[in-house]
Amino acid sequence: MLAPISVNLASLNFMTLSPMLIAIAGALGILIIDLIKKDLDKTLYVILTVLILFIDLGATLGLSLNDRGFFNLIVVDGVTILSEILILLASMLFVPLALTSKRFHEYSYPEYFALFLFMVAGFQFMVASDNLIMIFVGLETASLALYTLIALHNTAGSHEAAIKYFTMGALAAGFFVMGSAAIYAVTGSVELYDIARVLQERMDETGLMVTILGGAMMLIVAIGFKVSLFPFHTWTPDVYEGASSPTAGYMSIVPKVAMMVVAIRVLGMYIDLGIDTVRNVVIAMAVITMTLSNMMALVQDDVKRMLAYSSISHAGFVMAAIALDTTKANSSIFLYYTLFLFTNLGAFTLLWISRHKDKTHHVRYHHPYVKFSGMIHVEPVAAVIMAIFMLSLTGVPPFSLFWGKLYVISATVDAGYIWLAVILGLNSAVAAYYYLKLIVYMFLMPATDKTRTVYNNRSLALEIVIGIAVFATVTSIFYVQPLMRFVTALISASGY
Amino acid sequence: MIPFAFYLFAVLITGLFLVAVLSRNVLYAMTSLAAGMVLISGLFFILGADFLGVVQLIVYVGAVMGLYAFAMMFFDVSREVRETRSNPWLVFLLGGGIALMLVVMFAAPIVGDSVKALYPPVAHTTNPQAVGLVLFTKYLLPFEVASVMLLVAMIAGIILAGRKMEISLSAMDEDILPETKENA
Repeated sequence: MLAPISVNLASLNFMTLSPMLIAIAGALGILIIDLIKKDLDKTLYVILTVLILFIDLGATLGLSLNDRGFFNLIVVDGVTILSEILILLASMLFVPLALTSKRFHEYSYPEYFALFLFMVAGFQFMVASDNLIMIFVGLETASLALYTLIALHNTAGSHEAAIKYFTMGALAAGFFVMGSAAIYAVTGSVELYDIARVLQERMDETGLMVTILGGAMMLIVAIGFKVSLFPFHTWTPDVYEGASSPTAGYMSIVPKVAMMVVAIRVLGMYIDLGIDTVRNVVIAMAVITMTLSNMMALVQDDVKRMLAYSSISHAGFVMAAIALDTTKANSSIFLYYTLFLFTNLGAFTLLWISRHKDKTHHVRYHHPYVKFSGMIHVEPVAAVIMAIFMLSLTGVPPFSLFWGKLYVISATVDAGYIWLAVILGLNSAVAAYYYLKLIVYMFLMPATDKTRTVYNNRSLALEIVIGIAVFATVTSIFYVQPLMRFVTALISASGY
Repeated sequence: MIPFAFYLFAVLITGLFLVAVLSRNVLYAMTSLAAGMVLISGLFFILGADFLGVVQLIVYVGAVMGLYAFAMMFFDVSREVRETRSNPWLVFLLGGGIALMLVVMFAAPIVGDSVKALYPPVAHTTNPQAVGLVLFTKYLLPFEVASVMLLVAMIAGIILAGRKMEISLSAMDEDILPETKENA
């Protein structure tokens, strides 16, 4: 018979778990409120969700650095804290987009906000662990909730988007599990620090290299699907087109940040071990991803599809930094995504404001370029704001993303990959064409009668979110330096 | 004996899952999927993990049964399925083979005692105890998060299949109020 096992409660270190528990408890609270009193207004749920996320952020900031909890399953290092802050910040800016002046299907469900909080908790579990099982469970929780959030928009397009994303996500999950199984077969562990130790010992066994590489490649495929790298990016434009603009904007940031953290942990381990094949594959995928998606973005007719391809290309840009695996490169990833968050959120919010119930300008698309033609004559402020976001996405100084690109490219040069830096620069130049195309439509084309009613869905909440985004984009020159110092301090404190 | 059993199961599983993927007939695909799931439990039995083997049988084969029900809904029942091969010897051989395979699988733990585990479980524990030990200490957290995941799946399933999804407020104009009699 087995002797009873006693686990010291203090050794579990419940504090490390507090951010996720707050999100889950908040979600359950919202479900219970809905049970007690039906037909409450969505504003209550929006504010409640923001409040819960705010408490969650406080708990995240209160975590002590380089701590472990729950039998080493939860890891609190610099990467965890940074990515959780980023996820919560993006979520807090995203939720108020529910307060539109027009009525949309998803916001009539209190469950929408509960699912949203469950998704945030899932992403937090995913970034706060170096155990492959834990990462997988967190990833699936978040993904399931996200598929539902897309489908709840309840149009033919959003159903199509949800099904496509679900199918691709299921395939990616399969790859992730099989890759983990291959790694477990070689090392007998699913914890990354243990895996690294065993792999180090068994590296010289030539027969094993196939299995080691096989496991790594399957994980790269899984990461590639979620981050939308070539050749696994094909779902992205369709899903963005079908999903509502806020969801699409959210998808271009938060799930990708979470998966990039996994990439930093997993691929970083392989690169640290000196398995160069992994690094070469990631660099090749990154280069092809940004080049190809830039070419595809040139020929799009729809602004949202263009932004989808642009977000693929930005993901490729950042993947190049992951392949370098230096402290500077890893810090620049977080800097890049913080700046990208505000710019992209603003751009997608502007699309959301210009959303109509029916497709006014095109048979298929909600946001074709023509819709914005001559905007400067009718809505000068909105046109200038959109132009600022486009210039920032291009990487024009002094707007925010310029600094992100600058740090990534300088990290590339520091690591000795001059040719990669040149490709990154060239791609940014190509990207300028399709961002400027929208500016040309807005500033140089004549206005039509329909232009007057483009900003149909505006409300104070959305304007405030855009205001925050504009402020962060324009004033970036003042906070980039301290932000970079903060990020680098956190990243280097835990040895990445 | 052990390598032979492993490769036998491996080849059969791969073959059956290939049928599941490649077959154009949903019922064939489902059946071979279920059979493949049964054979996977054989691998667990060879390794001496009888608890996981039984869980595999109950959970996965049970899940495939659920899938069967859904497949039947998509299946055109009015159409007659004509078997192209009706040789009774073939039926006998396959049926007998499956029966034999099940006997071998359940006998596998006896053979499995001679396998030396690379990472042996805690001494003096039976198989379910070892699983429970790991599941409720080290992996308690993923276990609980998986329950959250199931909750999410349940909520998602209920609201996506609910009656409120039948009309789309996203496409409907503001001034039209939906009928509020449903409580879905």
